[in-house]
Amino acid sequence: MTSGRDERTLIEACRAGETEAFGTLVQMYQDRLFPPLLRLTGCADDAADILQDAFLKAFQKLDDFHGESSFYTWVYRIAVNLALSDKRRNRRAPSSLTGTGDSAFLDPSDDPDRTDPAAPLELAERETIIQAALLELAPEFRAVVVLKDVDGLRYEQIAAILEIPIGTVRSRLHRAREELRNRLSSLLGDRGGRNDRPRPVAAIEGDLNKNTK
Amino acid sequence: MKPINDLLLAAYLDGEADSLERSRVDSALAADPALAARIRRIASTRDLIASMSRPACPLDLSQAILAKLAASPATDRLDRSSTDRRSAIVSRKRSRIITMISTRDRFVGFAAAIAAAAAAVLLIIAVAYRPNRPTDSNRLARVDSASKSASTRDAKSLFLRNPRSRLSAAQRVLQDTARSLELEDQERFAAALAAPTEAEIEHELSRESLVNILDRPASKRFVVAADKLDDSLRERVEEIIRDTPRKDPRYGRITIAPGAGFDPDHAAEEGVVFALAVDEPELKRLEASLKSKFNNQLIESRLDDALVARLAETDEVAIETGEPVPLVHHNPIAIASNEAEPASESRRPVLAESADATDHEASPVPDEPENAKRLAPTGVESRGRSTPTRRGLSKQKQLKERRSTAADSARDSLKGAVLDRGADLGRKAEEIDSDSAKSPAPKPIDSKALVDQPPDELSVVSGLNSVRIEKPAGFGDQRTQAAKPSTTIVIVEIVAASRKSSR
Repeated sequence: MTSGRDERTLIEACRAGETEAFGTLVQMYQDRLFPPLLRLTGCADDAADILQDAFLKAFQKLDDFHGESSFYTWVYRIAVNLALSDKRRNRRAPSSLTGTGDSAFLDPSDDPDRTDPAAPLELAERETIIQAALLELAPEFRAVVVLKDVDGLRYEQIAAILEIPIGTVRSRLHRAREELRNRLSSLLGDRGGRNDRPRPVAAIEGDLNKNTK
Repeated sequence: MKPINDLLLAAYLDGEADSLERSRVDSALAADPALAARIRRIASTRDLIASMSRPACPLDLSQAILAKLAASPATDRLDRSSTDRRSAIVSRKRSRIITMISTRDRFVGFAAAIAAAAAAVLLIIAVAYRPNRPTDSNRLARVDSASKSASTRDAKSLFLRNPRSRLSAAQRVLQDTARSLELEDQERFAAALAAPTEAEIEHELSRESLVNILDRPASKRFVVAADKLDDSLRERVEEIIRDTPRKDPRYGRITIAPGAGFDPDHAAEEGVVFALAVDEPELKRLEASLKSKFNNQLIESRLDDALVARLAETDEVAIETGEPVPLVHHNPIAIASNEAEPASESRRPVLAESADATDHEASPVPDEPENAKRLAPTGVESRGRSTPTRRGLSKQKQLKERRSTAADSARDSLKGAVLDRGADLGRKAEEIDSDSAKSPAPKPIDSKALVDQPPDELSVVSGLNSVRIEKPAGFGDQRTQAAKPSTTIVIVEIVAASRKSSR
């Protein structure tokens, strides 16, 4: 019986040869780990495959896990590294976003603001555009922005997972957002109310110059 | 006052600014409404990304993963004693590294002797890293290879130290077990089965042969960047290796399992490495062929010894035979002819002729290809030298099939199978004893003997043509070990094109 046991107990059980306990660990974390991998790879099949590889690798290397970070962070790191090291997936065309089963992930039916029958289609299309923009980012920038803006991790957690300094997280995140902003200008222009409409870049730069004087 | 940059604003927006930074931004916001617009601008991008859906994993991976683990026979052992298994793996790796280091030391002298005749170069070609998902079979193989029983390892270790002793020991174990079977002692029978099978013997011989190939001191490395990493790429490289004539036509093909950590850049990927010995002209021809196929995607760098050490530790090893250089019988006085055999028609008959040469039979030299070609299919040579060749995947498959068939037979008649195997091993041990009595040298593993024994042929290299000339009678009195080896290890590694710029 493995349900109801905490992470540490489950890991010890795995080490003692209770393979079923590892299944419980997988169940605990697979749904949390899947979305960032989906956004890193742009393909549900690849994301699931990488996630499975990451868990298998974690199982094989369980003796290397000494608890310096949480098991979740450790597996997260393995999975992200697998995703980033996979150049073939990184080069995948944006159209592959809607690979097997992806359409189910884009179901917008729970969006209360949407009453237009065409809304699900628009939402799916918008998500495809955003995903395409993400895939155009260099992997190291994509990773930071996905971990922050998709998964909502703290800078410190991102730094731990990617094994980079927090300062690098900040700068990569800034650059990634800037690049995404340029690529997604059409969506950003249509998005939000009038008050939220972004100002022209020249105006922003003017402000910046004014502030630096 | 220091300006407020966008990095700080982003940190402020993300709640990651410290108290000092927050108060700075708050003050600036009160004084400059434009800052709010900048923050909104950052927020709009962030919120757009954050608005993407967060679907749950479409599969219950726990079931798939547990099924993978359960499908491996190794998991049973894992379940019984995972900790013991892991400890055993660690100690196994350590002992194997020690074995390999001592083997490397032992063969340095041999490499020197070979290098004296022809400046030998060791070439390792690593190809076809596969960043794609590992197949079920190699996932399982990965688990299985990490879970061999301690008894099998012990028996292998015994064999590595001395094949002849190992055969005798295995024979004794099986004979004892056969007797025990009459008493229905299943436990002892299981212990006997844990002794290395013929396939396992061949596997270890392949490994020993590989270590021999790998045992050259210097190293360099090529990287071939490619867009697509698949079997056809590996086959193209292997074709070049196979078709490039070499004095030592053998080459080792090593499969690097995902997660083996052979190359940190491809830690999670499967790879194939080819290891072969070539001299300088052969290396140049090989380089030219690789460059012609892969153009400017070929990159050269140094190779570190640790990498070579790990290669020799790899489980999946096969030794194949490529294209040999033309071999002619020649008067040693008239050595320098490179015109002897211009075309492939001459190669096969000459090799066949060589195989019959009594001169070779009189003084065999370990690890020479011609000798290797005459080895018994079992890979256990009658004089106790163990240098199997021409073993590849197909051979391994055959061996696996034979082993599987043997297992079926054993189920039908356990006692008969054990008795047969004991008798077979007994015959082999007797052959070894008999041949050892007839011909005391060379011993299976004896570095001094290897160094002292000169090669039985000279290689003369001129331009792009190489001619091997058999050693005349009496030439063996000359000692060549004083010459320094001029050896190089080269790795050609094929990786994704986008990696090229990062190297």
